[in-house]
Amino acid sequence: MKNFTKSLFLYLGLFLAFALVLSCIQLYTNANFLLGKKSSDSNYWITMSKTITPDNIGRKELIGFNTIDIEELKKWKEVKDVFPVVSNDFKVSADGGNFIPFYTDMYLEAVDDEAIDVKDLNEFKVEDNTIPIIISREYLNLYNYGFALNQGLPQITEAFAKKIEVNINLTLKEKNLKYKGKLIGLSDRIHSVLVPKKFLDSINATQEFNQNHKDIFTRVLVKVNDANDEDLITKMNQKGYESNQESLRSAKIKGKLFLVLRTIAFIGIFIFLLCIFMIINFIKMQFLEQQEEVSIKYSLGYSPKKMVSKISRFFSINVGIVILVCLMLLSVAQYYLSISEISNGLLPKFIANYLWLFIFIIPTTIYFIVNKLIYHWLIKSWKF
Amino acid sequence: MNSITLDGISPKYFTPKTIETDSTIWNTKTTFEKGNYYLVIAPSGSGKSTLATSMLGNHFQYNGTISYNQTDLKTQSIERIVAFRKTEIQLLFQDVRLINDLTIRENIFLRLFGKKSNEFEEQLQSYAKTLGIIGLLDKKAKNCSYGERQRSAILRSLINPTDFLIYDECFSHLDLENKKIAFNLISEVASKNGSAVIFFELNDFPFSHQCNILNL
Repeated sequence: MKNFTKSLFLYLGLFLAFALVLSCIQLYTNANFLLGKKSSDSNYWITMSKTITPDNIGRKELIGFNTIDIEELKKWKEVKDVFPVVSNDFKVSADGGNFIPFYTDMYLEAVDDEAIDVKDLNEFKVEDNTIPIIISREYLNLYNYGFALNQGLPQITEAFAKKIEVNINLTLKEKNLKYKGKLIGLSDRIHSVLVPKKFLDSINATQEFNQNHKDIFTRVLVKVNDANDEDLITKMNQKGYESNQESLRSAKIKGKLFLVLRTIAFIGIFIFLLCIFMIINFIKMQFLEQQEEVSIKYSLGYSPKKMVSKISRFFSINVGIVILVCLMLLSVAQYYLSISEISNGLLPKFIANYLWLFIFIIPTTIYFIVNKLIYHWLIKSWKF
Repeated sequence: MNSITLDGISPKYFTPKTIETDSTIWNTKTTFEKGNYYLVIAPSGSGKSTLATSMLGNHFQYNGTISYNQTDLKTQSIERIVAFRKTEIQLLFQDVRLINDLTIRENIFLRLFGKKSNEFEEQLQSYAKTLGIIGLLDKKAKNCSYGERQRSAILRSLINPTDFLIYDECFSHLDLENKKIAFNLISEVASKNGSAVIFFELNDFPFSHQCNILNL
């Protein structure tokens, strides 16, 4: 095109608009990488309980989740599944027998096998008077690093811990039962002493419940899609539920960051609209520059359709080149951003793959729109 | 294309001065045949350009029908009508219509539709010499006088001639000598090609010719 220098500024404008919009999109992708993205496949587990207040303190029926609470919890869109934690309704104690001289009062809890993060649950059944136990890995760490060293006691490996047998004494309403307790695994998910649910349910069933406590669960294990979800945090706060998960605290920061990003995205959309407006004006200018030439060629026998599609093709290819240049510059910027300290090694070295699709999608769309628009203008503006 | 037939046509949006006269083309049936020369004489305001452009298929602002052979133009798509202009009909507009930013040579070669221009170079040189514009070929159209542009446009119409050549007051800015030269060149090319020529003029030519004279 002879008038390319005339159009240079318009191409420069288009370049700036695309550069802004495309970097906004990439920025959004980067933010998701830095703060963890939402994916429907990911699962996070949080243990929820109700916040203790002077009103509910000591009252299990108030501090626990009843069936209605649990049903409601299941309906939250952020929640994938809910597993209530059953606790013992009788006195439990443990002692080391003759092997390790110790005695302690303790508690037992149970949850559906599905919620337990121990791979092999084949041994997790009460057989021959032996209760299989799963404890939190934190408990073993607490003993090994916090307790054993100071008290001059031996540290215990997981394998060794599984070999120790302790006596578990259940003090029931009518009788006392003695079992052997055997550790079969450690859980990273649940901070508790877990026994098979069937077993705990059957023993609990023999006890006379305080009717107020029936089907009340003090804690529930909740499977969620995204533990950083700010909506989830808001709902939990409203209901007075709490969780000790660190990730939930970071979600508050994330919420604010995404607010900033949404603002950026909003500006991006605004720029994009401006960009479309520019493109249309750009086309009109190009068309006006060539109107006379096209009109003369038409009267000489050149097909208007072919001439218009030639102009549109030329324009679309130029837009494609502008986008390509933008993306290449963006790739370079992304590379340097990813190796810079600020990214903390969390950012990908390349820009999001789908951005490259814009090289084809935008020019193709423009081609068809421009083709239609120019043809319309052309037919209307014929010099007869 | 062997004939162009005008059947009962009259302009839609204005009434030509001559429409009431006996010898007019308006509202009658006239057929232009390939190989013949015609001179349509009419005063200003009688619709010469309107008729010429409607014969090219540039607009349909007339009542009646214009047919190429037996094909009614009004039934054809724009693309189909434009296709006729490559080999079957062309019009030299009164306002010449050269592209200002192109040289005279480039303007003339627009009629080649991408064919190899060096095959036509010899012909171009010979016609340009006859018309006295050989020195203008590499000059931009915007830098030429109206008379020069008129002669260039005549050359453009002859480089790849069609079955019908229509000229709308194409000699208006030429002196008598140049008029004769241009007329003779057009006749020569048309007879070689077997084309029909239709001139629209205000008055009869001031030199002898063999055109069938019609009034509008």
